[in-house]
Amino acid sequence: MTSPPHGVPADEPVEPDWDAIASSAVFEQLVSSRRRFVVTALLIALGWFAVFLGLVCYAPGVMGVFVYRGLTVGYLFGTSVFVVAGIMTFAYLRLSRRSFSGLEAAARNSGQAAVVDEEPRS
Amino acid sequence: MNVFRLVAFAILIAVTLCITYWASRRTSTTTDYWAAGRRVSATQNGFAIAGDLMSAATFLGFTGMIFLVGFDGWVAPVASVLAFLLILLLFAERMRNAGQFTIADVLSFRLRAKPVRAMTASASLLIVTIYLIAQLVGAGVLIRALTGLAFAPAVIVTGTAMLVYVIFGGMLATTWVQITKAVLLLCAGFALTIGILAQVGWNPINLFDRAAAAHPLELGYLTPGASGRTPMNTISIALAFIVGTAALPHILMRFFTVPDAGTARRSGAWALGITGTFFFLTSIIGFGARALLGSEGEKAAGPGGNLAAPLLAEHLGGGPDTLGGDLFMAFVSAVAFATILAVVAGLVLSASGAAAHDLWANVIRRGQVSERQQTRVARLSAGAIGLLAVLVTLAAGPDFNVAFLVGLALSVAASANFPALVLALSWRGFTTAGAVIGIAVGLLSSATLIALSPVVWPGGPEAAPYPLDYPTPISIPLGFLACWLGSKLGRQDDGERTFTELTVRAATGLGAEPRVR
Repeated sequence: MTSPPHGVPADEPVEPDWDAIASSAVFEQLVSSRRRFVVTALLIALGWFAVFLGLVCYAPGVMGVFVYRGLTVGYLFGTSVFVVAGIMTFAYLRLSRRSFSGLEAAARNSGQAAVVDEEPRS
Repeated sequence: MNVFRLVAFAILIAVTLCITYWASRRTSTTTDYWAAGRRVSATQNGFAIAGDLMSAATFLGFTGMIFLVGFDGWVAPVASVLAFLLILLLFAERMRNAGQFTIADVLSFRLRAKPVRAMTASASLLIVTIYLIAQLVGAGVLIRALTGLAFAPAVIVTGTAMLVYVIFGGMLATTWVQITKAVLLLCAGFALTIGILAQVGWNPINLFDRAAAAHPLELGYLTPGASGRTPMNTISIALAFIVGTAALPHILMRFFTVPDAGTARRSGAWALGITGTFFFLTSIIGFGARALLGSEGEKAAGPGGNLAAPLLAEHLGGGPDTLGGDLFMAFVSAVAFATILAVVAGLVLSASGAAAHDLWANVIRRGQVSERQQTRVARLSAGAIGLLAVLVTLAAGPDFNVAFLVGLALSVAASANFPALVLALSWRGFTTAGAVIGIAVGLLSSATLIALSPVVWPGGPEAAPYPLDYPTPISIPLGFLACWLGSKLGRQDDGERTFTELTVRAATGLGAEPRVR
């Protein structure tokens, strides 16, 4: 996992310095940017579904409007919920590939660097 | 007894037994048994997870509901897809990074392990066992309806197959049975959809017109309200399906079977795509059944319209007593049977995880167990739980009200598991007391309110003290509140590990359980 600092026997696994990693700039960036995305995506997707549900429950007439022959507003709205969920998924995958994965790796390594530079613990 | 269908079922059991044999050669350690050696790929896991949700209850149940009442029946499937978004964004990667085999691993990570594990495992065990009995009753009824085999033998055959998969094949077998079934289910769904579209001149708009024409309410069938369900009831259903599905133990357990968090994330995305596609298709299949079978088909489709999809297959293949009709119906029926087999196996496996890994190995024996002991107890507990479930099912009988069982399982998952899991991963101030009290309150409030609801309380909807079918609008907020209050008022303590360590592990993957070579 992490390489032991000088003075510590090589076969003894070294516990990463969790506090050091947690206070590093990369980690904070990782956590805050990911949280920002998750909150936004959930607000959008669940919010859109809440509108769908609200209309189904309290304004069924709106959902019952016929757009073209048998096709209702409700059916289009329902389909759009699937589409929104799909868009959020793609966005998350892309953002993860582009930035979160890199930040994760950097945060993991920031732990290693901290351990290697420290005085060997007895 | 219909020969085609019996043969189709037999072929299915044979195939799944082969998968089990193959898997059993590769299963020896606990990591193999509960996590398939963490070697499952993103696509494979995506199909397996999707398979867990595309059960007979959802495939037959959702299409049946839409067949009977139209648009209102589509709310639950739409909600279920959002559950996967919750899983993808909140749980998939963090679970893989922070746990070993079970939800309790993650929840108890930086709290005092014994009480939290005991509470979480008990709640999970309850959820899974209830779901299991519901599925077994459903299996008995379905097999009886489709083949003429009596309820008891049908349940025993299903139960025996399920026990063989789980005891000998572990997670690897159940994963591949799920994947096989998910692929078959997608094929069946697409086949039905293509058949329906062919019958309406390849124009989906024609489908709506014909479906409406075949229903007493005519155009009202295509708009909300045909089911007569009250707004609050619709909301309670949506809450149960979104929040409850996102916290089902046997689904979350699958995120431990992949090599790393990145694969967990991609598998969550696959699962969303597959279930999304499938649940979108249920609307076409449901409307198609209405258009082609009409009101005359309602009686044959049975309660909840459960047999609408197989009957539709029969119709599309050429009608009753034709070769094409028999074959297509046999195929769809076999697929429905496969879904039950796959889901019950997964449920028993996650139950054994709660019983053997959480309760026995960690709470009772405090982690002082060898690999071999744990694997042996895992198999034994799977056998015991499966056997118990079969016996309870036989005692309950084919007329048992399974709707409330599924509702109870989802509600407990939504009110007890979900709040605790979210808070454990995200809130520094969450304590052991908060977890224990939160889960207990979530569990008790769900069970109590369901007992008071029209689903259980005798006398119909007017007489029941609690007016809704699902307790979720009250029990979910109560669960969160209890977690918060318990944390604020209870003992301020921590386990050995800190919240900081949990967040670092969960976010970066440092120190995560490695893939097994």
